[in-house]
Amino acid sequence: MKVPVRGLLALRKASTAVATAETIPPAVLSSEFFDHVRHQVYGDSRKVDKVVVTVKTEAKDKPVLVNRNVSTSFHCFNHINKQFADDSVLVEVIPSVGGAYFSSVNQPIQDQSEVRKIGFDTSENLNLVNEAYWRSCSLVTAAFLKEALDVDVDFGFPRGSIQDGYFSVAVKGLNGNVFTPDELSTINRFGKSYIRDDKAFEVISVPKTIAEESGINGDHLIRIGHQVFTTDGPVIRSTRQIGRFSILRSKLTGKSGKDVLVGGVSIPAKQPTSSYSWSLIAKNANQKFSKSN
Amino acid sequence: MSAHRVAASLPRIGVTIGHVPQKLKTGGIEPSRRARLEVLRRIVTRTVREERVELKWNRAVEARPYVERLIQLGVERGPLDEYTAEMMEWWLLEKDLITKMHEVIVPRFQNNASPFTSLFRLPPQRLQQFIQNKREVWKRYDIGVLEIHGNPFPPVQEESSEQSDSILDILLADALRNHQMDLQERLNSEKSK
Repeated sequence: MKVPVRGLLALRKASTAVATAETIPPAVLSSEFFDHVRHQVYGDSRKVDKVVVTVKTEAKDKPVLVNRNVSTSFHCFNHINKQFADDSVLVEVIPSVGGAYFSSVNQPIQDQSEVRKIGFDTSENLNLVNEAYWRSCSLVTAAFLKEALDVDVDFGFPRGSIQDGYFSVAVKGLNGNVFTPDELSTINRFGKSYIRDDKAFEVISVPKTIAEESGINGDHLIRIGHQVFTTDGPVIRSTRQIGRFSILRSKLTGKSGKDVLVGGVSIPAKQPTSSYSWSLIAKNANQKFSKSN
Repeated sequence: MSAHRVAASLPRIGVTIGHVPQKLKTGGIEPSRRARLEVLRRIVTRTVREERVELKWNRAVEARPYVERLIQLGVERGPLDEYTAEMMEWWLLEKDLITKMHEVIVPRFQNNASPFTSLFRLPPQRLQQFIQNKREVWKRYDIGVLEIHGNPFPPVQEESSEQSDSILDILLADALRNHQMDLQERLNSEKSK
């Protein structure tokens, strides 16, 4: 049976009308909003309960007493030593009830559990660490671009992997103006000083119900300095863990052709390399980013 | 001492013997031909006692063949040999170390080939030599670490860990592969011209 064209249009109109009525507008991500969601997820930070968290190390397991919903794995690791805490990138949390999961080091601990540090030198779960690092590089790029640009911009984070050779961030609101080499050099200078500031990645794991109510598009809310973003996985501990970092170039992308895709490459501070090797990596990333669609 | 006769019947030691005699002068030992041997036997004694010692580089280089030869004598000849006993007696100033040598160190190398020692070079250190009329005199020293294999300390050189999945390795491997391909393409295009 053929549906008349007019009828089809009417149906489409009706379906969009329903959809718009049900859709919650995306949240305006600000530092105040981050605090608000944290309050919603973890409750009042002035009322604290104590929980015992066991830090698992190669030598022995050390139980530490911490504040529930306030203390993070980073605080627990500091009980071992500062070097141990500083080297942590991710953490494997094994709660007393429920299954184990991997989380960011700066995510508050919600219950009695065992925690195991994962660093750049850990042989297991390296893929997770690599993914988290790449994700974090995109987020940091977005954070300092937002601070550097005087226009109001929004960001998209295309899924990328280390094997691509570069990470990228889609900048919406630049009206198709790509960055010139001079602008890129200024952005790189600003970005490097921003990274050197040792800004922590504050993380909230947002439950689905709160995410839907608040219009958060993702399961993690990340704050770097004053900039807040949503993402879908764990991130590294601090910008200090980022070593060599370079924004390579920008190009137009998106259906409208007005979004600007910014590509870059980076390696962790814990994996130093020579200038020659870095120049090869940067050149390769630049070529691959230029060729990508 | 019948060193020539004995050395000929022993296998060659597995370490380099420096051909430039090193100056090993030390305060407290009157300079003479004998003084050099006195310094060396103190170092050998200390090495057998501690199994890993930090020394000035030239002393470590000089003392290493003597430690090697002493262990080799123990391994090849055993404690009942007259010449070995004489050597142990002379080179090890503290007599309990002779027992240690035969009961702890030598059994460790019964089935091992030479070298029995390792020598590592540490970064140079600037150390104070003396103070003369309120004037501090500092000197830069090259430092060596001489150790007997199988000692209970952690390794001097960190074992290279498997990092083939690290971010740096992935990026660098990809970059080198593409760099190689670029070079090959350029070479082919030049050949075709």
